Amino acid sequence: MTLPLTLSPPAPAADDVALALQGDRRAFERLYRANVDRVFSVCVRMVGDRARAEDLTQDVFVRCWEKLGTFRGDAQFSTWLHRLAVNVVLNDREAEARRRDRHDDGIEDLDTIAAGDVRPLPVPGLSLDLEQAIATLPPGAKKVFVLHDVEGYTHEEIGEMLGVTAGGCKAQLHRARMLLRRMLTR
Amino acid sequence: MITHDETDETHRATCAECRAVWTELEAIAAEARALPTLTPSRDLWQGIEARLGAAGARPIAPRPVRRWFGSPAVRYAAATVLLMAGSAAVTWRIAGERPAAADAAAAPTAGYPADPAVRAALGLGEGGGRTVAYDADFRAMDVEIAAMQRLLEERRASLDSATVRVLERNLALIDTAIAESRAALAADPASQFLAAQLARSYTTKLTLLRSTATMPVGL
Repeated sequence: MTLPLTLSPPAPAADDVALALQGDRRAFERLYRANVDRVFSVCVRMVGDRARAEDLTQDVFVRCWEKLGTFRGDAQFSTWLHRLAVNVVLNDREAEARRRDRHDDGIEDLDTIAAGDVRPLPVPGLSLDLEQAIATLPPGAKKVFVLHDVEGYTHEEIGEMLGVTAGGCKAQLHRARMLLRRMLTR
Repeated sequence: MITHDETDETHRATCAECRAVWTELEAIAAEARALPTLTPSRDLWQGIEARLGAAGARPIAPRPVRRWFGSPAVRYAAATVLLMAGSAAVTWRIAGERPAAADAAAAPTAGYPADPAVRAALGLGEGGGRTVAYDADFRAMDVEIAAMQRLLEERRASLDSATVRVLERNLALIDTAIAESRAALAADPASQFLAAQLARSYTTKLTLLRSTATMPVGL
């Protein structure tokens, strides 16, 4: 199939960032459309709730609009936005934990959590796929697993985001994988 | 009693059970890496755009850097102090890491070039003795020389014309000495004397650049 000659290629992100910085909302909408799925994916996998993830995705783009002036172009815009999304989710989880008056700040104390501490499955008896299994992980394990195995951040980067050591992050990742293995092989 | 630890590679080599567990964990990680991108159930743009109005008509522009360090002289001084502090650290590291053979022949201060011929002659080339830190230090030296030269270019107009003439004449002499030493080293790469001579020329050049960069305006 031949594309219509009038169809222009999408503007490069750098151009749209420059335009958006001048207040061009159409340019910012293009940035949104080019990146929304990736932002939503990390949100939904880290919070395990689609409705909440959609709210957070909106928060991410509003925050992005507000902070666009701090984007220096050192990394790709999509990389910068992704990191911003992770920070928005982590801040939301911390606020949520504070609201519940409990400390769920990223890494649970491995010694105090029994090996069988797996949250209830969404649909008991139903065989799980990996996506569902991730949603049932304890919050700390879920964050580390999503950031490392799904999103590809290093242990050092995750440690910096969560305020834990790389060693603690590795231990949490192993725990997450073991929990997933158990759920997936039931 | 055997302690099973599937994360222990040595243990896995001899334990089929832990090896199997580890393979399954690796498969989970691989599957996670291949998970597809997800799409929201609705278009979120309208909600975002409505909130952009509340957030302001346009993104918050980068805040201009407050120039509390206003005058050029203060900026030069600050830049020079930073460069010299960095240089001192590099010098200390190079001095600490330099192999003994090169140590005996080379000048005792910084200024070792990144020139491969010189490094090879000093025993610091692509062969043994070279470290990642060492390479980083040489790059840092190159950066410092380039920065000093930029600083001097900026200062040129504010320096006394006679000072500039003397500086240029001396730099030209040093560059000639460097070129001659390089040519001689190319003919006799094993000569420690020539390598040390070249290192000294670089050191002299760097010292001259530093002292001129720190010279008060008007001299």
